[in-house]
Amino acid sequence: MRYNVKPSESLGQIRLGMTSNDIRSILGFEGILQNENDFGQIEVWINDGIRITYQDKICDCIECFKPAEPYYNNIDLFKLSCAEIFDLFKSSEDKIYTDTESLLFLSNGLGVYFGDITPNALPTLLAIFPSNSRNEYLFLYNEVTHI
Amino acid sequence: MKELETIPGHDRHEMPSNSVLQKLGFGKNFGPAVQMKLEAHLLTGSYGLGKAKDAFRAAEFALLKSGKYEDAWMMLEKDFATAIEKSGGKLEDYKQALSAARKDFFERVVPALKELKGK
Repeated sequence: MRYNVKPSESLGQIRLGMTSNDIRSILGFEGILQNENDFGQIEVWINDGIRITYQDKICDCIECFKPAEPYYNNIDLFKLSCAEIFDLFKSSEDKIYTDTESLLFLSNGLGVYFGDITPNALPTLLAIFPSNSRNEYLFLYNEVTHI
Repeated sequence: MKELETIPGHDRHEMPSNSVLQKLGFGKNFGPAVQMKLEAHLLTGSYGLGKAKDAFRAAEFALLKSGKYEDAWMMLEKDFATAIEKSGGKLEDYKQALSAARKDFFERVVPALKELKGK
């Protein structure tokens, strides 16, 4: 399914700040995988390719994987390479971070997972989260200036 | 540890997280990994790109850096087991792979972490 990506805001009709019930009313109440740990709650609609994490019962991260198709400005981000995604967002970021597997565009509120940060790697997971929301964890990342 | 080939419908779940071990100074895929069904992997705490994943990995990092290896492994194994259970899988099916990962962690990774800590 095609979803429009609004970094730091929404994926299709799913918006940051929604409750589980809000999101269930969009994606459906059936076939939801759930888990909880010390760091948050997780809900997954595997057939839709959607994974949601909640903090204090409020959605703080929307993630999508195939079969979801995340479109940004009419471009399917899952069809762009790591280098192309880097170039697409670099002009609107002061610093881009990597943990060697993914890229974080913190000002935009967008993360993309590749497995390996190599120019031709294709994304397999995309995340939307509040912009500039995780400074306390930046020690886990390194700044990346080019791909 | 021998490189795992990915089984269709499965993901490679690193224990500890690959990025955490790299942050501690090791190369990619240094640690053990277990093949998990995708639906179970999606329910682990270290999966994803959100703040909750960062918090999980920060806890892993702190435990390993401070030498609390048993606590680190318990955290990882609990997370793994819960994800299997919540996804409708059977932990019994992963018993052998999990045991091999545990052995590798304590016999190879922990000595390397201790050596690193001593430097």
